[in-house]
Amino acid sequence: MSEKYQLPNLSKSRTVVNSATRSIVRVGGIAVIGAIVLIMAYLFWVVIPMLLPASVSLDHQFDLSTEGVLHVSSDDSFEVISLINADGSVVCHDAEDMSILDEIEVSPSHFKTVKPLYPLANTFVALTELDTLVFFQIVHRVRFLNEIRTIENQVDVLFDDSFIDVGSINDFDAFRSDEKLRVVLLNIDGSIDLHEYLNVDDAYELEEPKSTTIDAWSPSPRNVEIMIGPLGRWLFEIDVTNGDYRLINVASTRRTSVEQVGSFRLENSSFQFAEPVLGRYSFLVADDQGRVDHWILGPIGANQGLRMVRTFDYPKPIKKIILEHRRKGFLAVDHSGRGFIGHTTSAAKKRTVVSLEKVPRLIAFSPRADRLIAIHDDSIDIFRVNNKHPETSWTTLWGKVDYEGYKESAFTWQSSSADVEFEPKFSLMPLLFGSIKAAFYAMLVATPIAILGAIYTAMFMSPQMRKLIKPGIEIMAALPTVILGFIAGLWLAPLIEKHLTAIMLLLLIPPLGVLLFAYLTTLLPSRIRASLDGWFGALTVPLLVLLGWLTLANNEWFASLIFQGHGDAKTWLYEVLGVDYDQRNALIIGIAMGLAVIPIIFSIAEDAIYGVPQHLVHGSLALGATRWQTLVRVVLLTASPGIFSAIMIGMGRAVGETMIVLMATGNTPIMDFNLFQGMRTFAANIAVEMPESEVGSTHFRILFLTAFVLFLITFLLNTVAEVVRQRLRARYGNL
Amino acid sequence: MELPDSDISLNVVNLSLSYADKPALQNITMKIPKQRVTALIGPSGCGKSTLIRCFNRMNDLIDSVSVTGRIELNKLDIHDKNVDVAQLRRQVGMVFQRPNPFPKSIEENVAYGLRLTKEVPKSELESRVEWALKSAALWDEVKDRLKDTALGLSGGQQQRLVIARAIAVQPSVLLLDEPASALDPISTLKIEELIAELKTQYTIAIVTHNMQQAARVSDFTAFLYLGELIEFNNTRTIFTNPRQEKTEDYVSGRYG
Repeated sequence: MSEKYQLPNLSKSRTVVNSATRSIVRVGGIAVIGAIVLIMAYLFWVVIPMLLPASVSLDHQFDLSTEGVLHVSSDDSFEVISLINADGSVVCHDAEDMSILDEIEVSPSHFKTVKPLYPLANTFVALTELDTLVFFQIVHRVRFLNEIRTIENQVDVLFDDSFIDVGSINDFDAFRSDEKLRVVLLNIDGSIDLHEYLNVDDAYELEEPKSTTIDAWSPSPRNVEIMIGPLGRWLFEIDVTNGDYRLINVASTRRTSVEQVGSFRLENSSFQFAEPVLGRYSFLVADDQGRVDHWILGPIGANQGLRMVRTFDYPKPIKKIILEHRRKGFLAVDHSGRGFIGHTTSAAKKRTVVSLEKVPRLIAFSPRADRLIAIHDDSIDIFRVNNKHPETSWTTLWGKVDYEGYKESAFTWQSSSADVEFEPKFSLMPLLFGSIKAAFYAMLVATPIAILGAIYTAMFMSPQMRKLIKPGIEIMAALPTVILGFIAGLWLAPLIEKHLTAIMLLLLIPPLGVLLFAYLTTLLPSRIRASLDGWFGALTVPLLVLLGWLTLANNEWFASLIFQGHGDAKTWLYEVLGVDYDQRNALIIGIAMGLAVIPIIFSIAEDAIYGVPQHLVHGSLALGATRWQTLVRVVLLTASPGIFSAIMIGMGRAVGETMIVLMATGNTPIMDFNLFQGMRTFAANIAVEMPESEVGSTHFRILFLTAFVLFLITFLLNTVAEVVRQRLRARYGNL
Repeated sequence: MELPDSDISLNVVNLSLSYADKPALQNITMKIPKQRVTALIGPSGCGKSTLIRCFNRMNDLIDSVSVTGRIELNKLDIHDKNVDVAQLRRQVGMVFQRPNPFPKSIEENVAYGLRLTKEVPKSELESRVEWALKSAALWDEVKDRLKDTALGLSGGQQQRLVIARAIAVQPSVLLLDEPASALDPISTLKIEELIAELKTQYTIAIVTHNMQQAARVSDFTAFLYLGELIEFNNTRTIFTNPRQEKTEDYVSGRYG
């Protein structure tokens, strides 16, 4: 008879504790991974809209005779569409159903031409059949009457209802700044009159202008268009028949000068028209073969001039190009009525096609570029445009880009400006470069000090001293980096700038002093030496302080000795090496961030070295190896996985470190590896710009993209570090 | 036990050692003969490992050790000011209780001692490694994987590798500190056979806990007790006819 033997069951409480512990650990582990994945997913989620293509869809189509409509505009929130008619009136329609809200007479005489008063919104200048210029502004005021929201539409004729008599002209343009109004008139004979009105106020009549005349240029002035350029300082004359143009500097009315004479014409096609992009720093030039060239205004040699920087190719000839009001975006319409949405800076990206059926007589973007209003002879079509982030493409983020006003293509980060017509420059390269530069110089300082310190502490220091030093350095890691950055930026940077010569000599004098000291100790009687063994490190501290102080105190003496005739190191750098010295530069970062990174590298490396088994050390020593040979051939080899991960973790920290670089780099997004120049890192850039960024804007999403890239870089660094460490451990690990 | 001077390898005279005022060895005087195996036995803590570590001055590594007395290696005082410890240790090789191969290849492990100085030209390294591995009876087992990491060897192989590493530099004395205590019986047997081979060329001092082992491999045996040398004689005499009562008690297993 066999009796089945049974193990006693685990007691109930032990089972409960066992399974509870297991689930808690599991939940914790999964939560950590989940949190990281979530962070990454969230960053990417914010970035996604930038990657989506634009879309355009027909919203409303109203059958309506549009005879006599000269210009169309709408209010900011797209509730009112205003049509400016040739009969001198403005008719405001409800954007929802095109019902007429208001009909306002601006001028008793008919309009021949209407142009926007550059660079203002909803403000126009009209040439009447009496050859006068009338300035008026369409105003949409939101009112709450009995708590009902209503929009009051109104047209204000500027300058106390006055007008300018211009006589018979071919073309005109006007520019308005705070207190100045400039009007240019192209006379029948081709000469140009420039009138500048000062002390301008909307409510008062204009004073007598200062006037000047520019000589005729084109033999056929009838074909010439004139246009005032950026900030009212430039005047473009374009011959619409052949694309020849003249650029005149009119910054001063007293002395105008021709800056450039050129042509938009291409060799194998004929010029059609040129349309200025927002801000008028650049032109989109269409030919008869479907090609649109982008010409920008920028320095050419000593002068300013237009040069072609990029080309958009379309399947069919482009008949019309209209511009967005607040971005460098545009819509190009070909002769079959197909519209292409584009953006000058980001070039070829997101080419969305919309069918307008035929080329509209008039077409305009709404101020927010979320609607398109196409005016045909017998209908008004309204399209909904979803094109939130046209400014970015792979090239604008990572490549060299030709920006308006630049001499050549460049990597530039300049996300915002006070100027509304500003072209945002979103190249991530300067930031990536800055991050790498900051990390490089920090590691250059931190790695040797931390690793050598770790070797000394683990191998040569007396155990009592090690007990003080190790936690001491580890506590340094707890030092808030904002304090380090503060000290580096406000105390260290000026100090180093003032004592540059001495600071450079610090690399030479104290180490030589220590070597001399080390040599002198070998002359001590062996009895004293033995009693001091392991404490020499402590003895060098006062020596280093003394030598450092002496070097700094004698800065001027050293400077006059080394840089004879140049004054000091800063001047010498500039005069001899041509290096500009920034007060907040990579040297400061190397020192300050190096200091922040040292404790991490030191601590991990020291643990690794100290953890090398004594039996290996003894094995080596017993074979007749010296301490140095043992260190190099056995200890460092065995500790190499740990030392390697120490360096990589330090590097990850240096790449992501924010406060120090924020406070001590000057945050200049330049690409110069020079030790004495500043930089801007990804992390600092996010800290600087995120509070100023409009939520949901392209800038906002790009900041998230930089965070994502930063995350990827540190993730990659850590992964590489871990893989290499594992391989090293498989090879050299002995534990 | 009288020996002519020329047959003495290590001459220990009045050696005392203390760890921070705690005496560990007291007035030890003994002569370790050339090309013989001398076993050091005694209960745990009797100082036999400390003594053997004096012979290559490994005790120097421990803080607060003070040594008095003399140790002569071939009539040269090893504590002399002019003696370089590293050179001494090349003369007096040592194998520890736990196999401690370096995290390098088998070949590099054996060549380690040779590479420390330029005594052996690079061209001869390979043959020296082969010779050492053959001497340690390991060659046949590893000749096809010299480039593999030494950490992949078994414990017994690792210990023979460490012996090969020690004899590669051709020391005159080989100190074995319980070389087989961490090994299985077959590996132990191999080590013992190896010791028998090696004594034709080297002076060997072996610390062992295992009295059968001492009886099997050694020519002479020293019995230490509480830091004192109780008896030093022919192995046979020690095990069959000890002069001291303490020795007899120990070898007969009455304490230990």
